[in-house]
Amino acid sequence: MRELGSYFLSNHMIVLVMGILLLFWVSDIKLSSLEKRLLTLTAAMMALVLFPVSAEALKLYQTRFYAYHWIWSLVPVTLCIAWGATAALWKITAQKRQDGRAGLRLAAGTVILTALLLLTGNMGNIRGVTEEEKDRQREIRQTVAYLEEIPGVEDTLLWAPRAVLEEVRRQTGKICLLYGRNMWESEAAAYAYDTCPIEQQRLFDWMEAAEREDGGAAPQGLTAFLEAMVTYPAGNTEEQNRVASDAYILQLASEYDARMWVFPREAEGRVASACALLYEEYGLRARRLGESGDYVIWCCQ
Amino acid sequence: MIILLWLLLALVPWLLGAGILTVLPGKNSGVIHMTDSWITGGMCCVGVAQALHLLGTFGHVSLSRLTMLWHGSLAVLCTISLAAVTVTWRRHKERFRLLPQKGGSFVLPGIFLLTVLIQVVYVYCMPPVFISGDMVTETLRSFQATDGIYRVNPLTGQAYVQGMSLRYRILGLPTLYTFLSSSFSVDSGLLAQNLIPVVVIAGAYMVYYRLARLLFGDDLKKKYLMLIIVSLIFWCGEGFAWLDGYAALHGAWQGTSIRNLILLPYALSLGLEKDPRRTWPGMVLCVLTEACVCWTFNGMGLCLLLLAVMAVLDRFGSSRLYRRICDRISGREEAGR
Repeated sequence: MRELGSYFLSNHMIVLVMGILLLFWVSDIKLSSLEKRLLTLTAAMMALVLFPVSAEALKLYQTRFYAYHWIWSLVPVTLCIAWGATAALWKITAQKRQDGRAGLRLAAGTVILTALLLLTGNMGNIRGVTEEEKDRQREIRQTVAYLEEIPGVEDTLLWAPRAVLEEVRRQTGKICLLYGRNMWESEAAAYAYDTCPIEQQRLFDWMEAAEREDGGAAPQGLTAFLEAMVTYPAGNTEEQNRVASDAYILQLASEYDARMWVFPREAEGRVASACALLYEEYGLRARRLGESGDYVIWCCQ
Repeated sequence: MIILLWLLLALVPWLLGAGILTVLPGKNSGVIHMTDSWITGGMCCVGVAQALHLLGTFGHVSLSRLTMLWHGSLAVLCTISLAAVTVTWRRHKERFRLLPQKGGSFVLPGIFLLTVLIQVVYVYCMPPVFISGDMVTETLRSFQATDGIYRVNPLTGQAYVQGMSLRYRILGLPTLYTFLSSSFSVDSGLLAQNLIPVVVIAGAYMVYYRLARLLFGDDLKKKYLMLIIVSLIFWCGEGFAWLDGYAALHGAWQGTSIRNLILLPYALSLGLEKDPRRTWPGMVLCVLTEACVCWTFNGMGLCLLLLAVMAVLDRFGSSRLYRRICDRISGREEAGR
């Protein structure tokens, strides 16, 4: 079944286009000059898109910003299938229409065509959102609404898990973020020349690790960064070292003017310990503002 | 306000397009179809928004002032168009075709309208869809929050450090959406993801109706059958971002969707007519509109490439070499028989 599923996740429209080109090439159906031009153009465009050299040239023409499949936009797939199917249906039912028995043949032809079209792709499955995802989205929207209500939220930068950051900018233009979607989405990063400093990358890594249910096994880059930046007193336990690292990370966020923090609920105990040390080590006072859904909101003064 | 928005989205492009088509040279004897008018007018609206976008981007004019200019320029253009349309209407009423031709049964048009209606309801009620790389909603919010164009990075809300790509910066589509959102007090996310797709789908069917008219002439049944199949293709071919179905049902607010659903088929229909002296203004408008809505190679987008390929094929089709090849093939076939 998995193989069949992947079949429906592929695009087979092009097979229909090829079938139509072949049908009108070998059959004796008379075509108008406009129809001939459409067929010639479709065939020429398909050849250009399929041959590697011309396809590469077309990709170059599109600045390489778009991937290969985008050059398929040049092939009038929809028009060719719609016109070809109409003309073919008309042709195969021509005689019968005159006999008054058109309905059955036309209906059969349409059913076959619909079946063929259904086999070319899927209907809404790819974008289907599960109930679990919908609930999660609702929770995140509630968190964003909560954040919007906090006085002075627009005066500082927000540091939060990526789902919250994504939703914040979609819901409001007033809250500014420590880093945006361009941190983890290469397509979004292509629009601007701005790059993120390594410290922001580590803050992102830390938040990603904190969000994981396993307690946050830090990526190697983050571990190496923390080992280089944080001074661990001799004799400290692993837990104490971890709290020291977390406190350093929180201090780093406030250094970048990100003083509004949203953490996943799983990391609450860890954050509370780090915030206690934050005051002792760096003189920064953080307080818990509240919670919304699966998130806890903190503010640093 | 939403009803007023719908009304103006239907009327203003039609009026502008009809005005332009009445004054264009070589069109004096031709029928002005509603579909042609609406698409031409729509492209002009994009052009006006683009001009204001450039003014805002490089002239650092505030968004509120640009919105006033937008209203003013549309009002002036509509007045001029109304005058042109009124004069032509009085002299040659028969030139305007507002509705599709009469006659034929209601079965096929009925099925077609039903499929379109289902699609419209689907996109209108669809929850927000997040497409990788798409930042239209964030851009609209940042424009409105800062009362300016690209004053901050839409993804963070912070000022740019190194700047942004110029080719992306000059695209005026977000400004057009912001104008619509600000003018009618509609939430920008709702406008981009739910209202604009309805307009784009309507535009796409207008273009395909035009193509059906070209290919099947006055045969109403064939025309509506073709449109029904187009709507089926939209439903079925929606699994991938580069397919027309996906563009229509899941991301119609994007520039690439507008290009694939409206501009490319429209350019194709103009090219198929093989009458460049009459159709060149539309072709130029297509190329320019694509440059305004899509990231293209120095403004040279797919419409230009498509028209160039069509011109080359036409030239080759009328060449001696082509005729000689045809003669040789048909000669061989005859010899074979």
